[in-house]
Amino acid sequence: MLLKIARSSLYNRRISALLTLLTIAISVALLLAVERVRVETRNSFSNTIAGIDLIVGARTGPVQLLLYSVFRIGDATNNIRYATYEEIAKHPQVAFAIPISLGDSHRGFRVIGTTADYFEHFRFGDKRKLEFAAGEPFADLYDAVVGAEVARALGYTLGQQIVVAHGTGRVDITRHDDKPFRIVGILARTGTPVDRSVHVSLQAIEAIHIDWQSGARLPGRAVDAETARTMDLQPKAVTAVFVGLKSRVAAFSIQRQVNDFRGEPLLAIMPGITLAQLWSLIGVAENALRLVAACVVIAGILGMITALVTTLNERRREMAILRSLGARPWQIGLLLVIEAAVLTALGATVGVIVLLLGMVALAPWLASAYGIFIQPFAMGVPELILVGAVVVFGILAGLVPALMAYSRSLSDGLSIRV
Amino acid sequence: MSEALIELRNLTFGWTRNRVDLEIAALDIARGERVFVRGASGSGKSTLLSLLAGVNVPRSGTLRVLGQALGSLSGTARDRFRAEHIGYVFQQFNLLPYLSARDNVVLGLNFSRERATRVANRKAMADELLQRLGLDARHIGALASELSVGQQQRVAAARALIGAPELIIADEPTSALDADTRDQFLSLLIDASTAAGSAVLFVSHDSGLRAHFDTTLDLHTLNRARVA
Repeated sequence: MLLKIARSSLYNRRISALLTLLTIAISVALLLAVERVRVETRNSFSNTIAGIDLIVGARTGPVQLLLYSVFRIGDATNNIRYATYEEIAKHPQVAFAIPISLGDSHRGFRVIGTTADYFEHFRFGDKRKLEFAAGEPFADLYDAVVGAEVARALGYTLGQQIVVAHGTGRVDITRHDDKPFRIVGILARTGTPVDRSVHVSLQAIEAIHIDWQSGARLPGRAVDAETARTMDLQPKAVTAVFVGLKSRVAAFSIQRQVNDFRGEPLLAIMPGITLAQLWSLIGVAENALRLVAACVVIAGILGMITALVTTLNERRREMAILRSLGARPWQIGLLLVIEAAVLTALGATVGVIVLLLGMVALAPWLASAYGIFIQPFAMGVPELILVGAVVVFGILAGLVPALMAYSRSLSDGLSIRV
Repeated sequence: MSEALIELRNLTFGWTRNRVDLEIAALDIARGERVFVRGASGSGKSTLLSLLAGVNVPRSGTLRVLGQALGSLSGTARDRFRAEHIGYVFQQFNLLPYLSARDNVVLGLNFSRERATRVANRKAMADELLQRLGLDARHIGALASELSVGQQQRVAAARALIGAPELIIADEPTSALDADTRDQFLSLLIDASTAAGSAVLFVSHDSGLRAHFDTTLDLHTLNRARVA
């Protein structure tokens, strides 16, 4: 019965109740969104690379090496010699070594120079292999394999010609338009930066830069695409090497050997350990976001309490009537707690629905713009606990107006004060 | 079971420590009796009603309702006692505006186990009482806030009567009604309470209504406390 009274009473004040409910809904949606994005970002990052035991690059910060080699965030400051790569590749403990060469782009998407090993040995997510949605790996010098997102965003199909630009800006300023590439393969979607990459051979990277020096085209010494084929295209440098070991136990000793390499300053990192370092950096920002979201929830619930407390005066008559019918003061208090519970529970439910709709709407954009792949319906126990905590908090906060109503109905008795 | 409904002896009460607002030597009301209490505002009317309803307890003296000394009960026990044995009709504006007329009447049973057991079908009983008190059938499902003052008063009376409590206390329930409606309402209320076997304690400043009652008490002479 109290439930019915609470429901009818709330319906009677439906405008303010609705606004209160919306405040709570938005705060809950924000709280869950922060959590969701946090978890999905971590998942996206963790899923990006698998089966790689070491990443070797020029000496720099470990996090930086990880960011530019795996996540294609930022640029390398230095390359390593091709000879060094060859030396790593023939180390007895090394199962495979995938060289990558970065520095060019195609309409905002990174271009990676690599070898056929990339398609053979690269793993992501749950040690999954790269698969071709169409076509095959590059064979000719001017062949390119594009990621799923590149093909989708730019509407590319097999056989189409594309031009690679120098540098990694969003707008192509200086283009290698004298040596166009032909798309021979489109990779299946992986949910990793691979989707946003264009893959060509190391020799192709060499070929398009053959008439360049220090980042600029040499005037009067242009080499056309066909002539370039006949020249020496032996790569001189690569940006980083993904190394797979025969035994993971050897990882630490190989890492030490690489870091002590006398030929040039190198850095070897273990992706998992460096990822953990990255999280501890990002953790500060994450916690700040969560704190802000929690504060918004607190503000929402304070708003609800304000709304309930301000109605207490106009509801003194209602309380006195209930008292005259024999309602105990604690039942009057309970009525307020029920109202707070109904408001927060409904608000939280609406919040979850708003979030789901929002994520369904925004997921494609987040995937293409930031490479964060969100699964809207993957909400689990942590989210439920969070929502539950908000509802419990709302009910506890409802004790404030409840206690006020309780003490008032004790002192007012049956006298109706208007 | 004793025949006395209300038995009051040497009662005093004051709202603040050093004041006496009510002092009554003796007051007896029998079961099923219909009593008219005449009292202007300031005569201690509200004070007496709050004591009879068990909202407040006497400072001294005894007050027994149905043989139960209210002063010896805890606040919660008095609340329960009121719910079980007393139907209360207020001056006006006494319904929950967001419930229908019928739901307002049924509400009277929700805090009272004894009264609820006397009613087999709550909805049918509410409708019957409302119709007996002269509310049109088409208004029974309407929200209380949509009813006229006279109609609201009938709903309030039906709510007090449902479940046949031993005592109906009516606090100036007719002051908002015009003369014709008032007399009609009063005879319907008396008839309905007679049918339910409930005593009626009717408080008003309007002595023109006394003809409907068995007994008339004047609070001015009854209350020996003089309040400025």
